[in-house]
Amino acid sequence: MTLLFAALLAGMIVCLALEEKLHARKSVIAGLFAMISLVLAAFFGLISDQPITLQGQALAIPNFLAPLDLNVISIILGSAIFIDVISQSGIFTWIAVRVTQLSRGDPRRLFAYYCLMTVVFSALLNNVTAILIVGSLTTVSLEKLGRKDLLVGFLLPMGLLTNIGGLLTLISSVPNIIVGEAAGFSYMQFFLVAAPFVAVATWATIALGARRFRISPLADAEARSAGAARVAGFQAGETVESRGFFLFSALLLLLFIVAVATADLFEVTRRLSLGFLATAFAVVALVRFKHEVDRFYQAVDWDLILFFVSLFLMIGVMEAAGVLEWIGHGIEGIVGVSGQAGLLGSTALFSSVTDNIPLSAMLAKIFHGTEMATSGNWWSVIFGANLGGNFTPIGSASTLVAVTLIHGQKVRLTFLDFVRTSFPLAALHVALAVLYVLFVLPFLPYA
Amino acid sequence: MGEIDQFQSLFRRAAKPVFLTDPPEIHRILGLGIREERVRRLLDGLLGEGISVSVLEGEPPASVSVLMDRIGAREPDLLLCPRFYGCPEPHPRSLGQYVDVLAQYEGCPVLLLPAQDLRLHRVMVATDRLSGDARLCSAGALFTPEGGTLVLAHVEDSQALERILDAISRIPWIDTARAREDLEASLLGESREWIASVTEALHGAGRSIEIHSVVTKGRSIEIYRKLLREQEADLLVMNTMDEGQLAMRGMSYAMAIEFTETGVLLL
Repeated sequence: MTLLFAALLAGMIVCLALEEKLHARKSVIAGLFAMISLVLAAFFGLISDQPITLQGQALAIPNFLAPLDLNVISIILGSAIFIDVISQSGIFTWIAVRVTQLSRGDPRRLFAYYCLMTVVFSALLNNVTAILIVGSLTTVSLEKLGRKDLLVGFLLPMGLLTNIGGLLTLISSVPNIIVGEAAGFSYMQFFLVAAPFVAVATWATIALGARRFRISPLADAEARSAGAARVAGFQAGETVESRGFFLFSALLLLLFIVAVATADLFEVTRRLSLGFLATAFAVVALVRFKHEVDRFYQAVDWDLILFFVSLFLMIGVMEAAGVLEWIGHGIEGIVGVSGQAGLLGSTALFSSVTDNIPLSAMLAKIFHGTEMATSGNWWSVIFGANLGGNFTPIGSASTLVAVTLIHGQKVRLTFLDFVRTSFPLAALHVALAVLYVLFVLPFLPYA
Repeated sequence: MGEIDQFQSLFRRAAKPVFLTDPPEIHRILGLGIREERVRRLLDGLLGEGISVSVLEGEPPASVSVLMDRIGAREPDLLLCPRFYGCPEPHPRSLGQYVDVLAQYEGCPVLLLPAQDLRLHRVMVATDRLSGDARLCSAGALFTPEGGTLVLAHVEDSQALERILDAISRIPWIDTARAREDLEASLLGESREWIASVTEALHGAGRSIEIHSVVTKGRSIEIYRKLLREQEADLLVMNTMDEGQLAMRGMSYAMAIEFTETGVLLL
């Protein structure tokens, strides 16, 4: 029986990896597999017919819905709506244009600034939106500077950096939310552990990227003057329609970061959870568009939300069927033989070819409450799940967007070109992560 | 691609055109069929020190090719000639065989002089593609004396615009009225921003010239004639040819023929 359910799980993972080929969205794939798994689970008696109880009270929730992590779903939903609403103010595009002006048209400086901006935006927004903003501006800026020859040199490292930026906070990427919540990391704790690694990996990417793609500073005073003149034409105000809403959004964003960072310090926010905070801020932000909230609801990635619902239900069934126990033994073997380096590496490998979310969700479930729930193991999964997406253009949605931007400018970059070009940087990121987990993490008191 | 395009459009809108001066470098002037004093009187103080002026006085040689060879041998940076050079009985629809070829000379700008004495005070730059044309605007500024007036005129080709809007009106998923509004605002707005950039750059460089902005739509020669009259321009500066072309572009041939009372600088 366990074998049957393991085959179902494997089937779902393979289908998710072939999402593009199947022309099916992940919610449909996961939904179908979840439905079949639940039927079979009910048939084999793996699902209880008793209602879920809370403090002795039976809830009107079927038992099979128990694995649903509403906190994770509400964090994703709430923060997606919140960020979508405040993005309308132009705050992120304004920052992006200001940064461009500060570069004074120097390619090396522009590259460094854009890379840093990518990391910060990826931490605050989702990775795809971050690369959409910075990547689109890159194509326009390089066009203005007459340096479209640097397009690949800019966009490829930036695509990789979205996954580095996605490591920065507990809510910067979905694997962080799932694994971080399971591990019981607070927002600040997560940030304090991840930030030094993110800083080093970003610096290394900028330094190596500039050398690898020959992004040099402007040679003389005349070139510097012409470069400065070209970017001086950028007007940040053009991306802002309403000054009032812009200021409101900036304030709200700051409050959101502070609230999320300090949630663990206050009884009220601790009880209500991060999911509540994210949703509450979304509701406050929506007041600005109180008559037209539908467009923000339509813009929510319902495919992702429904995928999560199905995924959690699948994982619940897999746990009941003993599949997760099998996987757990396998992982114990990997960790036993190759330690956390092996765990990190294998997580990264898996994430490079398929969605990192099912793996993160499974490992979170497997490790939770067991001997494997160590800081080193949690962080190995977090780093591996985020960094694995850098090895192939299909490894993460944000690197795919970077490649789409490159192709959109009629620059040829094949799958192999991407792998060949980005492999050194991606491998460096994983190597740095392994070193960090093995030799730095044990010495961090808050890890 | 939809979101990518949205963001790119937003950033392109934020990237205003910046004028960087790019005037033609003029060190050697060649006058055809005019006296040297007239050349010096016309351009006195405009083009700086150390300019060499030479002339080929009298009537042109019988063959246009011989004339072009003589011009080529002198390697001028600016040619001046009377409007009806080598054409004692000009036809209203022709530049005459010599000016017809000179107007399309690629070696340097050509300044066609009207019959009456030309006094440079109000210079008008006119084109249907003003935004981004630093060379054209720089040339106009170069020939505007201190205390003079430079008119920067962009005349959007209304026929081309209507053709595009007509095509859009037959695409169901594009709102025609919105497209018209947005396109016109974008095309004309871009030119206004360009002119503002030129004004800022020239005044920033210490030029004491008045700069007027004209941004309009139109197609016929009458628009340009009306502008010349309203602006009381002494000199009209315009582009002659598109890159890779042998013949004069768009309105420039018509303007060169019809505006006989104004000096015309052909770039």
